[in-house]
Amino acid sequence: MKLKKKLFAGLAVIALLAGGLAGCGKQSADNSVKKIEDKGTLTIGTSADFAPFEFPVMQNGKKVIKGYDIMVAQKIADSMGVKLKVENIEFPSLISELQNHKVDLVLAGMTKTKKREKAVDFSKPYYTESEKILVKKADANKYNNRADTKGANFGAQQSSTQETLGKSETDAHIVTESLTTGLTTDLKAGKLDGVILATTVAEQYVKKYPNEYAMAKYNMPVPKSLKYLNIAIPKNEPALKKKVNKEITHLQKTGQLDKMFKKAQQEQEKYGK
Amino acid sequence: MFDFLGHYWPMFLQGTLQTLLISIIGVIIGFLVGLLMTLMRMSSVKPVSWIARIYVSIVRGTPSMIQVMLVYYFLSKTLPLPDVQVLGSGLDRIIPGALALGLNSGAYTSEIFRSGIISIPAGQTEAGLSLGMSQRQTMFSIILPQALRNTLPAMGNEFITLIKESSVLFYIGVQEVTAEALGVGGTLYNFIPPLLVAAAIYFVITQALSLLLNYMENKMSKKYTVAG
Repeated sequence: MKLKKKLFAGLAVIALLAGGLAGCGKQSADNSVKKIEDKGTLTIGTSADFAPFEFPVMQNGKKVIKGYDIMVAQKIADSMGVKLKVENIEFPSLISELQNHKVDLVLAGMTKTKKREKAVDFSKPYYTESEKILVKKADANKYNNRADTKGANFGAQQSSTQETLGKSETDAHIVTESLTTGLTTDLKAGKLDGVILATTVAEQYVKKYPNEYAMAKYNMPVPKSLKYLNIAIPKNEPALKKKVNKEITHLQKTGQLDKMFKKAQQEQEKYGK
Repeated sequence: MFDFLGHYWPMFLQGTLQTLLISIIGVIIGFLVGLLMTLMRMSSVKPVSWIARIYVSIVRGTPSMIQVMLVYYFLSKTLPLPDVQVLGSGLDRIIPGALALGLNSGAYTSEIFRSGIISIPAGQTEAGLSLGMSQRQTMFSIILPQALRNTLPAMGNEFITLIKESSVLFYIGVQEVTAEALGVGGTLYNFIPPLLVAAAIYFVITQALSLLLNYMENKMSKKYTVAG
């Protein structure tokens, strides 16, 4: 998951400053849902470089952002009877966009962390994620438990959930880079022994390059806080939160969440050739 | 390796045009702010010169990414900009973004102008004044035209920096060419080819710009070469 802590902290300070400068005097009753309905559009913020959760494609000569998060957002918009608008913004800026009400919700494969909870509110989980170690095919049976990882060099994306997890749940030396693709390139070249990835992402790699990669057998225990994806909602908007949670529950009960995720993966495969 | 371009080229094209748009606005604002700051800096009224000095120090001493965010959030609170879509991004993001780029560049261009003016020997000013020209006439007809010519190479450098720096505007959601490349990379699970395409695009733009500046340099130097 994309979790750039340091940048986020800096941006939160800026957002607070900006908020302070303009003087927030809004203490009135919560009309968050009504405001969106009056506007006729639900605007969500996302960072569209994270397939299958959000990714841009060309459709009939036009750029369209697709993915699981977008499908969930579309359902929420439908339930409110409004149109959906997607703003594509660099991941670390998303929280401050939300705090400044430039977007109504953030769906960006985001996990609920304590730091983020100080700045914004979160919905109930709409996706449960696990993490895997991607290795070279020849090493498929090499890492079966924590002890096997001793002395290995594993890569993880900088400031990500995977980095936190790699440091706490393996005995490997963790190398960080800013792009996942850089890490998998290193793995292919033999510079790394493994790369820690979200299971869904690791699966796509194995599927796309079955002769190069495999999944290690060691299943890292994932702490609760890093396991779920949640929708970020501005603070003090209980009406909107209730509405979002209600829709998530509905989608979960009817099995639509699973279906949408499969559909998103298929779309990525179709467009990501 | 670059098969994806057949499908995704419109995204790169739009991103490139967006990069050009924000860079051109940024360069123009930067040039004007820079000139203004230089003249203020050289003013004989002390507080005016201090303002220019403080402006340059603050802008040069803080990261442009943070400046962009501050300008964006400040304007979004104070000025209701329309979210009309231009080349894939709203004006409420493009305007603050280009303005911030210009304000940032202004601090650097003002130092470039100043170095150009310093480079003109004091004898030139003295000559102007002793010919009976006013302080202002001397500055605008004798010093500045020569200074401008001297600063062209450094100015070209600054404009090129600005074009490359414009990629920070993705922090406020402007869909410029780097943003598009990262997006396509996400879809493909492979960032390197789209990033190479973006790098090639930046290279072409900056090369075209430096050719243009070379041409201008030659044109401006003509007056100073002895004929025949």
